[in-house]
Amino acid sequence: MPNDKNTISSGKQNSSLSGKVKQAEQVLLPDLDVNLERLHRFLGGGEDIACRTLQHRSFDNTRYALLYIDGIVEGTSINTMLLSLLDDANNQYSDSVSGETPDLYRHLTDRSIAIGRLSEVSTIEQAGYAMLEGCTVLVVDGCLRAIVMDTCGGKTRAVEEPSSQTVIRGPKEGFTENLRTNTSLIRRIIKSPDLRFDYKVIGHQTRTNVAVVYLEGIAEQEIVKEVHRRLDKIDIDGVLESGYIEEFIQDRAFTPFPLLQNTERPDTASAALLEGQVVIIVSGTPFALVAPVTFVKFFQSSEDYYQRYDIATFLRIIRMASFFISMLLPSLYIAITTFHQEMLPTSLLISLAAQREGIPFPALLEAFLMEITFEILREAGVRMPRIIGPAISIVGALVLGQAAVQAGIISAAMVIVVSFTAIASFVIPAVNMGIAARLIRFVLMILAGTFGLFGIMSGLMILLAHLCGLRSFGKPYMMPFAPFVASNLKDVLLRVPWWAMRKRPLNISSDNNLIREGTGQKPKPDQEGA
Amino acid sequence: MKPAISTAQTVALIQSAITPTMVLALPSVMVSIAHHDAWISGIVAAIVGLVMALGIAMIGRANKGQLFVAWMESRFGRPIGVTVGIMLGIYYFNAFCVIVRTFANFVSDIVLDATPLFLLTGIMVLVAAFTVMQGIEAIARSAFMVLLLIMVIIPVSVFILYTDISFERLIPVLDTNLVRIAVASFPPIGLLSEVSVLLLIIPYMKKPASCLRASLIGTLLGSSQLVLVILLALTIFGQQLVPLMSYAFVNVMAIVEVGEFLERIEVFTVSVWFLTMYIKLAVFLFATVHCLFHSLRLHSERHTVIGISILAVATTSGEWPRNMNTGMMATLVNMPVLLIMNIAMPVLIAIGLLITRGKSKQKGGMQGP
Repeated sequence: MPNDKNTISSGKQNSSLSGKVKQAEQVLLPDLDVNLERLHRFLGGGEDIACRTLQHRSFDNTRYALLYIDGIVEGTSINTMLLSLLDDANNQYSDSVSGETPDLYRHLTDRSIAIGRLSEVSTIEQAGYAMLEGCTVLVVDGCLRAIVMDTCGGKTRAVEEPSSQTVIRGPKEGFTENLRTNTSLIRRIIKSPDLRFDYKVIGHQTRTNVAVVYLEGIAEQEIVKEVHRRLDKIDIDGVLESGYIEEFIQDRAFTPFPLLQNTERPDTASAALLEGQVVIIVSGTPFALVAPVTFVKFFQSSEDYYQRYDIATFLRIIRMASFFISMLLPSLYIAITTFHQEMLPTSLLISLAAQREGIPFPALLEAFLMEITFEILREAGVRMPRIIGPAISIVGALVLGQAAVQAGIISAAMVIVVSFTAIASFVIPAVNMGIAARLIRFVLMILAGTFGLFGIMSGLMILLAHLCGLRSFGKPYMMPFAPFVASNLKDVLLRVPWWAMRKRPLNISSDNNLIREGTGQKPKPDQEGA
Repeated sequence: MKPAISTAQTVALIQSAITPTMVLALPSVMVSIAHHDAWISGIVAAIVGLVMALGIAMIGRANKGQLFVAWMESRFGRPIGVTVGIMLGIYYFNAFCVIVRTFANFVSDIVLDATPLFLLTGIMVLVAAFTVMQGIEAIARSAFMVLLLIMVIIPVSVFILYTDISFERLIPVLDTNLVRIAVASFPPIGLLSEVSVLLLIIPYMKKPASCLRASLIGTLLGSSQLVLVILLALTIFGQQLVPLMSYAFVNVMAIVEVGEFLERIEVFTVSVWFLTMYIKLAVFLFATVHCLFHSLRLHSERHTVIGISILAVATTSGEWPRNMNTGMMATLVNMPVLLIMNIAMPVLIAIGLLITRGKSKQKGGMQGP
């Protein structure tokens, strides 16, 4: 059932539809045929608009019509309702007053319609938009109002395991494209009366439903207000994915780093809510946005909290190291082999020199060739039909790897460097952070090829300053390192045991509700049994 | 949003404004004067530096949240305030150019001898300008991150050098003439006086009252690193070899050899030092822009940064045709300027503040950053 806000569009959003809206804003008239014609016109006609007209015996054969858009309603609900209405229409009720249509309206809402959620509209526009949401509209002849029934449904994807954020241990449910399914998945995890869902409609044409989810009392009110403010500012014709919204509401436009986290896991979204973050769910995509977010969050996986803390800590260090490897390894190789050969042990230096003998390209060009080749292979792997995937791998590994080395175009060491870099980039749990590392890698390679380690450090200094200047919904991106927040360090690189994480993250969640667990829960040997 | 720098970040800023140039060339100079007692000169300089830090912080505490130039204007009138601002702006610009050129010469000497100088100075100024454009908060946070890195690297470096250290090279202690020890402490005192940049930073602090702590800890950290580098250089190479080295701390790391796979790691040490140097450059460029922007009542801070940066690239590449000129500038000319701008000027400001104390009480009011 759409929220009331969904059916009443703002003037700003309808600016491009002004002509149509002016016409549509007209109130419902007492004439059923006129109303049906205007509704059809508002929706632009089309074969998928279904209309079923009935007459009620008890109310002087007064006519009323059911309207819905086929395919986006739940067929079972429609059929059940029709059966109940037909049955009702043929009955003779003693309490009816012949000729008084408002009574039919009341009769239908109170006694006849077998649908849980009903609401009322009084304009063509409201009725039309409700139908576009998947509701069924019941218009009664002679009545100035119409009944809106929640029959939203149609074929949607079932809840499945998330494809981009898989875990070995943990829930296997993932968000779907259906907003209601997604909110229910969170409701099932957090059964708290403090859980809030604020709904919005964004996009003049797509009228995409967006839900802002937060926990009252745990989320900082200023952040919630800021999320609303930024969402309300969006003026666009269509929103097809949460990425559209992300680009509008992030704090800085020009940065390779993601300033909002995205997740298709309800458990990750729920964990974020419990830490005081705000989740934005967009209809039509399984990827929900989480804000505010810090740099280190992108190296944490939901599984870190399901596995033991020691292995979780180890894996986080591995992920962070992989990020740096993914970003720096090719540039370090270029810098050392081109400018700082003295850093290498003699035996390794001789081995590398022997490999590079006969290679016609400098290390920078060699690395660029390999990296670009790998990027092409990766993109081809994503776009190709799945059945051709293995073939691409074979071509990539054998033809472009081994054959290139044998042909003397690329050195074997460079193949190792590029392969290791590629594998390291897949270790980062957040794909968008991995993409940032990929882009920065190319810039650092150019700096390394031009200025050696000095160039790399210059690039890193720019990165550091840029990262330190970034904010996510006003919160410093590099927290808890800069600014330094000691209490938040328990869940950054280290993941201390749950019984030691008494407080929610400082400066993210509301300061008034930081304590999340009781004291003295550290497991101890049984004193009585000792 | 009002920028807010924590006390720890201020410590990092002070440390970064002092240390990088101090550990670069001073150990060799100090050992050549005070021989194996040069580390005592370092301690003497540290004590004097702490006194200077104390004085600067005391002056800074008189500021009730106003930006430096505005504060000067409100206490001494607009002409004096603007003059002080412009003088400091010019000083910081000159200091920035000298540091860039020294840095470029060092990079050229150590690794990139074939790279044109203007390219090196260009990239250095570019990085500093980009950092300054991110704002003082970003500079302070970057400084803190770099300080964390240094805190990890220093113990590791001492650990891997431990087997090469011979404390016998330090005895007999106080064998050198006290006058020589005192003279050797002058160069680091000059650089430690750069703590005066704190006067510009205090208005941006979350807790300006803790500027004294920040000033003292920052100076202590900076001077400790100088003493550590002198001690490492002396205990590893001895007093005869160190004066022959241009950059003793680089040579110290050059002897590291762990197993048969890790050797000549001085390039990595130097790489980390690059980061500290960049923070120093950013602090000095920020100080330049801050003073000139507010004194000259300019409208766009971004354009001020771009203009000053272009001027700095031209100055650093063309002002000193030979490296020797830079060396002379850094030692003979820069040292008196350092003492005048970082010690004499604050003393004059302190005297002025004392004289105008009554006027300030009558006027009241403040202007935040």
